Amino acid sequence: MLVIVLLILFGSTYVIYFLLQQNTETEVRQSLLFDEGQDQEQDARFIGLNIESGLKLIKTTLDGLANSETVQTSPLTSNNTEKLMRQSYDQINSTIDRLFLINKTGIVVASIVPPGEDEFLGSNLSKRADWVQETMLTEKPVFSNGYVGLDGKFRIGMTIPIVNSTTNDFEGLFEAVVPVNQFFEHYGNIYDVNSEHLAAYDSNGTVLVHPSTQLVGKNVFGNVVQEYVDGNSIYNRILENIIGKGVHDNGIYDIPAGQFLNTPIPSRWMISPSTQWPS
Amino acid sequence: MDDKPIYAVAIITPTSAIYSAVNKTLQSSTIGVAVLLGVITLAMVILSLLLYGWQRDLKQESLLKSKHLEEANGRLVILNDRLVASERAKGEFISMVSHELRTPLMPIKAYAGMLLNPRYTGEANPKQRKAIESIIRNVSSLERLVGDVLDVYRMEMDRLKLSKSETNIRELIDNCVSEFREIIRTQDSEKEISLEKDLRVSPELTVQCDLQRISQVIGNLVKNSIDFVPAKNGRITIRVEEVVTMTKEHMDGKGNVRPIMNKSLGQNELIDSNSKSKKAILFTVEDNGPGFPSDKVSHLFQKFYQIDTSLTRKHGGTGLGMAICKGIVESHGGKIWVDREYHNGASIQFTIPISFKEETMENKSDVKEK
Repeated sequence: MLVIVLLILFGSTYVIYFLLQQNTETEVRQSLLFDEGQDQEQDARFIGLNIESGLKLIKTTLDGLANSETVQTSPLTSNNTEKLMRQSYDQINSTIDRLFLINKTGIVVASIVPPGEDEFLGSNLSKRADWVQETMLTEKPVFSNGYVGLDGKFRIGMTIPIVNSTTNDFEGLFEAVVPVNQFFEHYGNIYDVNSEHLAAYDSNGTVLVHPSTQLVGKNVFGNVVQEYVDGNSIYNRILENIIGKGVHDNGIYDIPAGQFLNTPIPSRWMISPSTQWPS
Repeated sequence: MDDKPIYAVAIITPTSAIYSAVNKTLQSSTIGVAVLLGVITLAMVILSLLLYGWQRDLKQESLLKSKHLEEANGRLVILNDRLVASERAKGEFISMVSHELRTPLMPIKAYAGMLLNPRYTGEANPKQRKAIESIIRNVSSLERLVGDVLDVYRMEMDRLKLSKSETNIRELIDNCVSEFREIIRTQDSEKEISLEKDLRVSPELTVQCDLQRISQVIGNLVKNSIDFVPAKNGRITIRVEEVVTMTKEHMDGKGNVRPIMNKSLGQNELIDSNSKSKKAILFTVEDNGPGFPSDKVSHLFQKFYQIDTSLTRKHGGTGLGMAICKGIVESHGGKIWVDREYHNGASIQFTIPISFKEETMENKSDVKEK
């Protein structure tokens, strides 16, 4: 009898303990998620600023190149211009892999590319790249959406017009091509989906970077991504707010790959796609 | 300006990665507490089992001991029954033997007496007379001894018969004193012993008692005193007075009733029925002998107890006299004791309740008569 009473007593204690423990765990998890969400959002802001800085560096370098005395006074095909391009390329080649000098008709007249890759000399990029054509038309800097290159790499392009400072004539443009993975891997994990990782989207909702490579280049509201997230409403709401409305949002959602905390940050420092660089 | 962002960057974290650290902590904490509770539970269960086992053993041991006690008790009951039966058989045997011894003594004594009477056997010469007197004296002594033994066992068997009658105290004492003065004169003529009486009661005071038995008590006490007082200037006093005795509340340390002395109570004064006080006659026999050693007083009234066996050899006696006195006095509803405050010799006192007749004597006597 005594043993039974003791067993009941300790059984009750166990149950109460585990209930309290579960409650505590839930509270701890919620608190942890809240803190993590706060921290993560803050981190995302910092990363966004870093990315902006990185892009600004490219833009500034290209800007300096376009307004350099050599480019302004020498023919586009001169050796000096090529040398200057090389110097500039060396400064930013950790984030870009190609640098093109395109004349006012859209033809590539000079290029610096990684060894063994196509230099596209003589190619008319205005017909292949909208953002080149847009710069030619508007004489404004353009930041392209993501695109898949001929070599299969996902890239974004950035163009800077060359405008003669004396005559104010459009002379051509510089295009820097940024390989997305190479660019974003500087700012965080973009390969392991099972730990904290980065994802980036362009203004059209195209996935620029994601550890699940099958999503890269796909629209977040397209079949592939929706299948990946199993049409999760929270995910869709967050992306809709971020990309569609430019409004910050975050949340936790369960998808077949697991449960994730997502804290995206919109970047408006450059108005896409046909707006000028901020001065 | 268009509000659409050029891009958006997101940090995405699997919650499992967030929880992993805390999960480990909580898991180890849970395991630790669970193990601790488990150990405590196990310890308590083991302790309970030990206690339960201990209790069960104690219970079994207790039952076993109870059983042994019951068996021992049963054996004791049987033994007691046997002892009672044995004691009864012994009493009956002694009673029977005493009777059988006494029976031939009577004709011996009678015939010896006849030998002293010239009308039956002619005049005996002095040597013959002396021999016959010796026979008679020893037969009387043997008769007394057999009588004492018989009395003791009658008391033990509750068969002592009291022949109660209204007895005048003064007459009782006068007769005793006369008788013993004669005995002293004839049997202890070589001693100079004075036997005095001190009667502090009214001449008309009577008490319901067995005259012969009370005389026997006084006789035993006086005979003891005669044996122990000095041969020269021996002094024995029999004092009688009326007292009030108290029950229980007035017991002394030895269980004796302490009489309230020197109360001038009228003989016919009624006792309050609610009061525990009783009127009684206090008899005192005191002498100027060596007295009783204080460490032996408590055994004085036990059967066959001799304070000093050398004195027994010197003075004779069986050690039954005082036990018989106690039995007779208590049969009358009284008490007998040694007065320890008397230091000039020995002083033995006993009481006989005056109201004995009204209250207890009848019932007690009836029982004894049966």
